[in-house]
Amino acid sequence: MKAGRTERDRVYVEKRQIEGYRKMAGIGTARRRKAVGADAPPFRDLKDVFLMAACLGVRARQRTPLRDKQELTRTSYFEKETDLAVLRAIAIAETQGVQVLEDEDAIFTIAEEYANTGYAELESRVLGAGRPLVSLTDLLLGEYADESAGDS
Amino acid sequence: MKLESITLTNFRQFYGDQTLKLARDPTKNVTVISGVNGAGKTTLLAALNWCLYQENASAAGELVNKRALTETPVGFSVEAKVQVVFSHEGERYTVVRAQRANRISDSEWNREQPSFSVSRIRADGQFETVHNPAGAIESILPSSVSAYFFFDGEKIDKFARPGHEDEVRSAVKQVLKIEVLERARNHLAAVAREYRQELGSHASGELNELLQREAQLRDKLGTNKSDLETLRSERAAAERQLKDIDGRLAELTAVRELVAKRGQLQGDLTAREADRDRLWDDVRGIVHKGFIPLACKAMEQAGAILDEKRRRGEIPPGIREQFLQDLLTRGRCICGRPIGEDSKERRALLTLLAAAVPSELENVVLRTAGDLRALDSLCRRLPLELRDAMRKKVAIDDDIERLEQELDDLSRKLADFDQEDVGTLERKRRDLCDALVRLAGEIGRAETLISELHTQLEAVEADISKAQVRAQHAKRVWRRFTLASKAASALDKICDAFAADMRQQIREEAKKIFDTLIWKSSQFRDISISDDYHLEVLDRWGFPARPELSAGERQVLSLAFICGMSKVTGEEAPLVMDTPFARLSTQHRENIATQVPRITKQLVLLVTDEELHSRARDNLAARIGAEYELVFDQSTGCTSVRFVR
Repeated sequence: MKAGRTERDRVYVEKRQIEGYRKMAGIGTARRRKAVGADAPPFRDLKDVFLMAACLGVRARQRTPLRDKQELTRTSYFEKETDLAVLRAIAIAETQGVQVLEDEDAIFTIAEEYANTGYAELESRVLGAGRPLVSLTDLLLGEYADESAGDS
Repeated sequence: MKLESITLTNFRQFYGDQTLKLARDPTKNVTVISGVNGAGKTTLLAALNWCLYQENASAAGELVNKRALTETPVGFSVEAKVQVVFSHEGERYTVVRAQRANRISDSEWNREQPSFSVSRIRADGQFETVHNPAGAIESILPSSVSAYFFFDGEKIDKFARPGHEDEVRSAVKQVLKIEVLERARNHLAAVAREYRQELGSHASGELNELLQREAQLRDKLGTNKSDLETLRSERAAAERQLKDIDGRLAELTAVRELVAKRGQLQGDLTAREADRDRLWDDVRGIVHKGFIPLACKAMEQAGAILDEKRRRGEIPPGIREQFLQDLLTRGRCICGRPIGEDSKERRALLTLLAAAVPSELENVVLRTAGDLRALDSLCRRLPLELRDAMRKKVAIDDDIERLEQELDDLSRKLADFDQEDVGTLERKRRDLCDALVRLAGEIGRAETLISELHTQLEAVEADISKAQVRAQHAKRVWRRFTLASKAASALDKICDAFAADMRQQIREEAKKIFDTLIWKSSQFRDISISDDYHLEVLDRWGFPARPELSAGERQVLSLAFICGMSKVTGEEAPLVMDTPFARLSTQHRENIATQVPRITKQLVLLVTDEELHSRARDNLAARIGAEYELVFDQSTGCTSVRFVR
């Protein structure tokens, strides 16, 4: 009658993006981790970079299927009430139904494909900048301004 | 292998059970089976080959005796069967091959696949069924070898015909099991080739290159670390000098106020810079959740879909799935009324259950709806917080700029101060401050470079340990390659030496036998088997004489070769010869009749009545242990076996 719940324990991104994800989360060198103030890395965790990329992809309204994927992180690191709730909302809006809530694999696949699109913007606007945190803040302020402009 | 008996049951023209017990006594080791042309001699040889190797029998037509076939009523079946009993290395084997034909109408028979079984009585008297019958027979007398022991005498001259080298080569190799050695050699050579290929794939020098790279990186790291140390001590020295100058300036009464003011401004600047760092930490906290407002629209859409479900009463459902299922299982309503098996109440409950949302999905839906409501406020709050933080940042930046400006003005005042030593000290101080800014940049760059070098070094070290594993593997492969190549070439030599030795022995034996068989032995001096297995007879003048041999002489040469081979190999197999004497002259027949029973352990001769008579029979008489006659009955078209003596 109903399909069993599918689960997911890993999140994937394109293999070539892994290093960029790590840099933005301040993983890799001691210097990146120790930086403070405006010099600090813009994100604390890999899953935060992923969520940002996914939401930027949703804003761009484009899903890009993964071609050469590699594991980024575990789904267990995502917070249920915030991170997962946002991903579920994206999946409901995408499928226009609630059945997708039974299919964790589909929820993460949709998110991965949006993140694949959104990553390009992070890469060009944030990763290459001298102070990535400052650039990300500028990026977000611009997006928020567009959002309220769209509302009005 | 020593044959004890052959029993044919409804096999071709042999009707009913026909048994031949074969002579086995070492002094009376000859069995003579005679019969006119067409009586069934060749069929008997075929029966032996069919039973042991399933060879050649069905090509000659119907296996089941035709009289037996026609006598079998519709719905019944009849069987053609050959049973061979032989002893081998103290064990007694019974080999049975049979084909069953089922009569399905007056003119139709359905033939089953032949069955094959081998059983043996072991030396200790234990009976057992052999589970791999074909394999067992192959190991006793391989089918490829049997052709040299069970053969048609008229066709036997193949070893002495022109172009015979391949026949001789394959006979020597198969009978003497040289093929086993050759297979081992070929296998080892193939293994060596595989190892060679594997070695080719291991890039040589890979490890050396990596080790060189590692050494270069370590050198570079060492240089950069010592550069960094130099920069740090320069900075420490500059800081000391700065402190010293500040101390000296503070002692000068004329500028004491200005110096105190500078101290205050600097304190303010440091505090504001710390404020700025803290602000960025706050911003990072906001940015960390900054994705939520970006998904605002998607969350609104999802919320609308969930609301719609709720509005339509699907979520939460009016009645929960679990509750409905409980009622159905209990068969009683909460008011106490029973819910019958085929009642309308039960049908109503089933309809409700079909429309119910699965409880697990229901939970997730409810939880998600709640989470989204909570996120809604964040959607609005986070952009405001970020904008507010940015406003604060602008204020802090303005303060910092102002403080820096004031400090700069103050420094200029001191530098231009009338009192000469104040100006000098302040100018020196400004140089030191510039140097400190420059040093901070250089130290930062050096630290980054060192950190990158560490990363590269870690990667190279990982590659080195992988390459070391590969290098060890390559070393092992090299050892195996060497071993396999050496073993293959050693076996090659052994093969050649063994074959040469065997050829020589066969030649000697064949020569001895040939001398006793051929009537004009003085005409032929020697037999030779060349390296390429060319079988040759040399005449008294040492010229090759094989092309000049008569058909009968060729047959004798072949027989000598086979007997020679049989003797050399020590293969204990009977010689079963079908019409061996047809082409031979009287003298050759007499010689063969005398000599072959001495050479072989067991001899079965299938002969026509004319083939074996007068002196030849007399010569053989003392060695005959059993004699049979195949009697063909013209009235029935069947052959029966008659025991003669």
